[in-house]
Formats: sequence, C-alpha cells, structure tokens
Amino acid sequence: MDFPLESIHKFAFKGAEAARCAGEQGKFWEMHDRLFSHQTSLEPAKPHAQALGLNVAEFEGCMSAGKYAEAIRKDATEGQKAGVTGTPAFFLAYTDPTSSKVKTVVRLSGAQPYSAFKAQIDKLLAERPKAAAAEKPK
Amino acid sequence: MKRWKPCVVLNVALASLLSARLASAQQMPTTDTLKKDIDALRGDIRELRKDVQDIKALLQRQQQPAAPPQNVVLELGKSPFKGKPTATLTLVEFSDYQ
Repeated sequence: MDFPLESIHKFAFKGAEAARCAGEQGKFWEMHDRLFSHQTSLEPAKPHAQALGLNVAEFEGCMSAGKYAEAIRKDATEGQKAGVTGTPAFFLAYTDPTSSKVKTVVRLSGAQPYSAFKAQIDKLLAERPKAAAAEKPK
Repeated sequence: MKRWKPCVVLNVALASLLSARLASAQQMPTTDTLKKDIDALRGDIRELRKDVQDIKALLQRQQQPAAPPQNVVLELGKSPFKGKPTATLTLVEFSDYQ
C-alpha cells in the first residue's frame, strides 16, 4: 500500500501515481521495481513509462488527471490509522478471502532481515486459528 | 597649567577613596543586603526548579510515544498484490518511492 512521505521525498506521490498508472496497463510491479532501481532519476516519469513499453499517451493522461490520487491518499490514511509513521512498515494478517479487509496480527516496522519475517510467518502459520485452517481446503 | 594640578590630584584621591569604599562594601556586605541577595537567589532557584520540572515532563512525553494501535483492520481495497488471493497469510507493506 502507498504511504508517500511527501515532506521528505519530493517524488513520493508522483511515484505512487506512476506505478498505479502503469498498473492500469498491467505493469504495476514492473514500474514499482523500476522506480526502486532508479532512485536517483525518478523524475520525470515519462522515460520510465517508455522503457516499460507503456502506451505513453495513456500513461501521461492518467498522471495528469491524478486518477489515482484519491486511492493513494486513502492508503496513506489507512496507514496512519494503523500507526504507521515511516516506511517500510509491514503487517501480517490472516487472509479473509471473502473480504478486502484484513485484521492485522503482527507489525514489523522498518527494513528488517528475512529471518524476522520468516520467524513471524512460521509462528502465525503454526498458530493458525481453526476458522482460517478450515477455509484452507477450498 | 599649574592651577590644574591640585585638582587632578584631588580627583585621583577621591576616585581611589570611592573605589576603596566600594571594595569594602563588597567585601563586607550588610546583613540586609545579604538577606536581599539570598531571597533573590531563592527566587532564582525556584524558577530554575520549575524549568527543570517542565523540561523533564516534556522529555517524558517525547520518550513515551503512544503505543501504536494493535490488531488494526486494514482496508486493502484494490491494492496490487502478488501471490494467491487465498493464501493463509497476507503481508501488507506500506511503502513510498524516494
């Protein structure tokens, strides 16, 4: 989810928009990964769209319309409600396949090693509540 | 020119007498001035103590940020995701582009 730290990262919001606009053309993760590997040349977004072979006119239209601005702000609000103050911030939750909402059970703040994630995930899988386990065979 | 000399001498004498008096006044203050000084110092200490208390309170407030809320329900909406939508666990990341 997006949590643009606009006060310290000038391109944070535009970057989030760029990834979502690329997502409209099926290339969210491609843009996401590209922006993370081009952190010194995030702006402008257009060359990145070109590099990914996106329809640039469509991409630019999406960007200038601020089509996903509201959704990004909504993400940031969700994060604030959950007490997120910096990035990256992670939450683990049991998936509810019937809803787009998840109840978080573990919080991991900051860039933590793989082992920290593995430990928490293993623990949660072992402690999986019966309700969640019952849904598994589906 | 000669007339000036005694005047100068007198002035110098007066000045040294005055400074001697002032010096002795500083060395041997009266009980009244001492009391005044002590009262003034007490007042200063009271103010300093109050400042220290204020600073301590401020630091405590800053050092104990409200514990982040637990077990928050997150609305994922149509957030992009990787993996099976029915996986047992969901890992949510809040991230930004910098």
